[in-house]
Amino acid sequence: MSAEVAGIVLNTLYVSTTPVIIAAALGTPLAAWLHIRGGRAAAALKALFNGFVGMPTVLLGLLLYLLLARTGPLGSLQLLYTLDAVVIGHTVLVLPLYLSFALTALEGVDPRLREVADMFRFSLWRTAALHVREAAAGLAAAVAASYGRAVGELGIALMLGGDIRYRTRVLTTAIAHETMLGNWDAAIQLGVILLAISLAVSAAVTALGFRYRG
Amino acid sequence: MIRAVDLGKRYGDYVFRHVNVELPERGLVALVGPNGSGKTTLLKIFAMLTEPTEGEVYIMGTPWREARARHRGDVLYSHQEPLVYSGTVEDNLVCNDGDVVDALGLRPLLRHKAKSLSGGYKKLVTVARVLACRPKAALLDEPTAYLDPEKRRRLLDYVTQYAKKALVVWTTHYPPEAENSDAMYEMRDGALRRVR
Repeated sequence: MSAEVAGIVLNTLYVSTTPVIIAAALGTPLAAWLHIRGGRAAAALKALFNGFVGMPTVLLGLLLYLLLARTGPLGSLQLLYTLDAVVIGHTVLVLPLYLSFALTALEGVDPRLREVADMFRFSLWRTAALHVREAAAGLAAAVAASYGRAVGELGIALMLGGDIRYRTRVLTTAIAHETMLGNWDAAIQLGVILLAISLAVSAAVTALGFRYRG
Repeated sequence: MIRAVDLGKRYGDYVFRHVNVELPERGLVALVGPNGSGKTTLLKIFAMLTEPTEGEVYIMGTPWREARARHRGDVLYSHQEPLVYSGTVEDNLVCNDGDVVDALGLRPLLRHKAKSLSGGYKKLVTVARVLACRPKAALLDEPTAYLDPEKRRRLLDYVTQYAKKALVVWTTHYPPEAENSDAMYEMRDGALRRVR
């Protein structure tokens, strides 16, 4: 693997792993709280998250581009055409997906556990931890799906990262770039690396989920 | 300990109504009746898990709604179906009570994963979770289901002893099994009546 490809792989890992970690860190407690709280507000929020799951990445990229552009409201941060801009975009992209999957996973937890938590006066924290542990396999699937969405995404990576060689190029933009140049072999090799990363992360996360559930 | 006055519950149709009963502070009370007669619903109302549709329930003299805050841990319900969650048997017991653990034969299993246990042991853990916390009223929904004769005898021996210090209400489909109880009620056709 050349130094350039290694750099592209590292960029890819950064812009897909970081958003998923942020989404899981924010989304897991939020989903657990919404699930335990229940009621119409929680149902409405779930419907909202479901609605954003299918958000076109190009549209999201455009909106964030307008925000981060030099003349935009957040232009002073000078984030456009950086990997951090892609991380922001991917976080916004995968957070609703993660929340939607997480809430579905939590709905699969035996509702009688809530009765046990009520009777034995578990704290909100302990009740949430109990539910998260019971839903660990489903939450792992949420992580895997979110990772798959982030790692294979092109629109945001292209519009916010700019596909700048040696700086913001990631596997998806590199594949698109090589394809446009007619370098089919290079494009296919990069595609295989992308697939391998996606499958490896998915397998590892799923295995962790089952192990944690215990 | 628990007093129901003109109690009714419906999910669309009435499960039961006009239930009047007063349960003592201690003793073994059996509740028998066919499937779907409302035994579980009644116990869940007493455990403050299900809200009654009509009438009033007094838990230790406190009306149901107020009792939910004041007497939450005093009345505990053990589910009909075995209920264990991830972690060891010890994690599942919530309260630490060596007497219950030994009496029900759970000591060798404390470090085992609860979800890997047989149905019978899961049921014992479900019941032990309630008894180990020493509630003033233990409401046990079919505690002997899933158990072999030996485990059933051990559980009933322990529950009988426990009922000398607290109230134990338990349900069963088999009236002969409840013969040793201090009182027996039958739930049938939406009404509760005292059998003896």
